[in-house]
Amino acid sequence: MHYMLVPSHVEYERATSVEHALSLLGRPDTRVLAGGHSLIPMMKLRLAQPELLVDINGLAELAFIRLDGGQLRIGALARHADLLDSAVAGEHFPVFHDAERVVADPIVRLWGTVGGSLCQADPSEDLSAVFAAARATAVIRGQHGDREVPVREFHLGPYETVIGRGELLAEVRVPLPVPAHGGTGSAYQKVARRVGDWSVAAAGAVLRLSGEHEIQEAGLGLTAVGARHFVAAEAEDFLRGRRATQDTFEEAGKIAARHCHPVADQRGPEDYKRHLVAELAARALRRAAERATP
Amino acid sequence: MTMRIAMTVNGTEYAREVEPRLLLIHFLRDELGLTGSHWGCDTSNCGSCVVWLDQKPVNACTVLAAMADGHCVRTVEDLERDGRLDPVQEGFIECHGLQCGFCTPGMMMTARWLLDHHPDPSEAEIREAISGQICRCTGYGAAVKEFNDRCGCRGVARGAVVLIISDGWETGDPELLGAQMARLSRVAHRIVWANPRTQSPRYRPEVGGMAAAWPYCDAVVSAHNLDALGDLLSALQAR
Repeated sequence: MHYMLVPSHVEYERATSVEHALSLLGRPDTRVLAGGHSLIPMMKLRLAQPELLVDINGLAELAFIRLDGGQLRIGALARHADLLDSAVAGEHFPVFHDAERVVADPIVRLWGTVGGSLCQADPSEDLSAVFAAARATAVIRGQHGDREVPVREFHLGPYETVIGRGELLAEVRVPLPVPAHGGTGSAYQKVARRVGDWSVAAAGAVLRLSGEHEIQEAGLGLTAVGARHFVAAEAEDFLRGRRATQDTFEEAGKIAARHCHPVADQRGPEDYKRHLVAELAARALRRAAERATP
Repeated sequence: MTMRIAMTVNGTEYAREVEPRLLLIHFLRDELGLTGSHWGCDTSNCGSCVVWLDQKPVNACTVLAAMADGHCVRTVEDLERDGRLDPVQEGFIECHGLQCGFCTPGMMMTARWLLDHHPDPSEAEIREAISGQICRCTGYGAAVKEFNDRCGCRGVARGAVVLIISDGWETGDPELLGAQMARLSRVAHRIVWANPRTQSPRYRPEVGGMAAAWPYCDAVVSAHNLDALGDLLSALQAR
């Protein structure tokens, strides 16, 4: 018996402007269609059965990556490949390039979007931990204007975000390092079973160091291991104020491993995933510290 | 409920009445009869269904036909032009870049895109580019070789003929010249060398840098007189 996977019946509308998209998204059971590389497979499996798809691929005003007012601004419709190619993003946050190199495969990266990654809220998705580590802010557009939500409060749980009916993620803003406040470095470390696969576990680190190598601020994001809001908050607390040494990073990794909640699945047992968290967090922190230039 | 969509596929305009949920791969295969693109894993993992949508490769099993409405699609059927195979297709044949052939259409569409954007990729870049293509026959080695070898990549700039006019490189560094010529041969369609000294009985092409460069030449002509200019013309015009 061979089954052909096709989505259930659905209506399709192509948004001609953000306003048009917002009005369409006011209808119940509506999903935004961007790259479609998570949504369409989920629709085939009937894990998602929206009544209406709102195709936003034509909304060029949401496809940008630029520096503006001390922030790196990434439009929701920027593709993974755009972020990987972005020199400004890589210059200020090499963690984005680290992560984008290991998001799916090059063909998928041409279509999958940054906004789609965050809104899909898949626990194994790489960018959520990166944006959480960088303390980014999501800009959510509604018919009555924009509201800003820290990425650390954006996800309510697996496949659930704070975006409500009639709203659209417009962009993500990442505060730029201020050189006067010390050197900032960042890195992402991931273990996957094979090229293009989801993480077994991964860690993203953003560190701000003083001239004396004291950690002034630390962001540590974790992927695929059940960390609340993708953040290793206890490890961040431990890091703040300490010297950036290998011992510090290894201890922070152990703390992160203790406080996350991985589940055993086909990608590995729980203890293995905790082991990965400790090791990958320490490696990401070390690499971030190496990259921190005052 | 259906909707009317229209798109250009391989240069031809098509319009059809379809359900919004119809996937592009089924539109191409079942509605248009273009069965060259293969319907593989159905989960955008295997890359067998890769076609170009507005000049960018995409897994056609993960795009709705409706999303391609008003856009341009290119499939593997369009690689051959005017009865002439694309060099990527020739390369797959010459290097035996396939066994069962199921993944080949997607593999070739990705290959063509890579080479259009990156005429001289390294092996690591090739492996990265096709990391979204799954070959169950484990034909990757041959496919990569196909990309990498003379027969695969050359002719990327289709018709680009390199004419070298020099009386020889005997004193040149063989290692450097060999590497440079290898590089050149991967991006050029043909390399023709015009060297009047080849007419001299004392000329020895097997010396030094010349020996390293010689194997990469598709033709070496003397071009030392009017008759020999005819040879040059034939060498330049040869396929």
